[in-house]
Amino acid sequence: MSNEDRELVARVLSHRDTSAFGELVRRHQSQVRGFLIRLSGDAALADDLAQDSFMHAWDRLGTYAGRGSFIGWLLKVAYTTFLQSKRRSRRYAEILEEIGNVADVQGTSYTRPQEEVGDLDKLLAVLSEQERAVMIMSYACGLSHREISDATELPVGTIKSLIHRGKEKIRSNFEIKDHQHDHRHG
Amino acid sequence: MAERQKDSDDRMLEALFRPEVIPDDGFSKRVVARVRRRVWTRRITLPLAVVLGSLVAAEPVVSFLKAAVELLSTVSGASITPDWVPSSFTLVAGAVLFGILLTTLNLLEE
Repeated sequence: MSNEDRELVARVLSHRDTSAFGELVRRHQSQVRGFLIRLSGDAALADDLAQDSFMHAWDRLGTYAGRGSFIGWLLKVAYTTFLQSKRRSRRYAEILEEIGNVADVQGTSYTRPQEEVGDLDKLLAVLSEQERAVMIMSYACGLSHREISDATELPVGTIKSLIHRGKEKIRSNFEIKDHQHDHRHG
Repeated sequence: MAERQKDSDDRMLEALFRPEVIPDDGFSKRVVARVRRRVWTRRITLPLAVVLGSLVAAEPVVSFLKAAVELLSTVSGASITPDWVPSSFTLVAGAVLFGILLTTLNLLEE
């Protein structure tokens, strides 16, 4: 954690200083929102989740022990918020399905409109949700395996194998694409 | 990422995942506004609950205390008058004062 983060966290904890918390939000909002956009594939939903994540962070800041980076801890809060929201959406979809409203169920899934899908989204689409979260934390946010392990509450060995599996999936997906491309032009 | 050797795949993935900077656009202000609302809500919830609770409960509490005193004097045979039982107005006034005290303590603490 940077000295500035440490100082801001101390100010929030000792004085419940909302301005210091605002500064922490300003410093880390881009990474948290970027993480949630890639994880959910929906910018508006990601923004709502990011706000909720920072509210949870305000409530639970006392549980941050100063071990590891502050952004690692924030991403843990964001990932938990995402999973909780996903569980609620799934339950909502189940209820809608139970009452026979199949059309609305489509609207609750985390999918981005086809025209907005970029290269990275296509790559992320081949990964499972867990692999996606771990890959984003590792490659986009630069967290260490230990920090990802803390954030996801998975053992370091599992993190390594999730990254390995994710890379394999992306590699094979690329090879398939290259092969199809070569075949078409061959 | 520093804990292991990076291969060409890692470099390719890092380039693909390179984080885009998302402008704040008032996001942090919205979060801080929500935090401040929450702080105020928490600050006044308990004192308000004490005052409202006393408004609702004052009358029944006074009646209950008076009935209990009368029952006690009947059972024991002693002459106990319910004069010491506070009026419902006193109870509500006490609760309001307690609420103000709680709010002041919350403000002083923060």
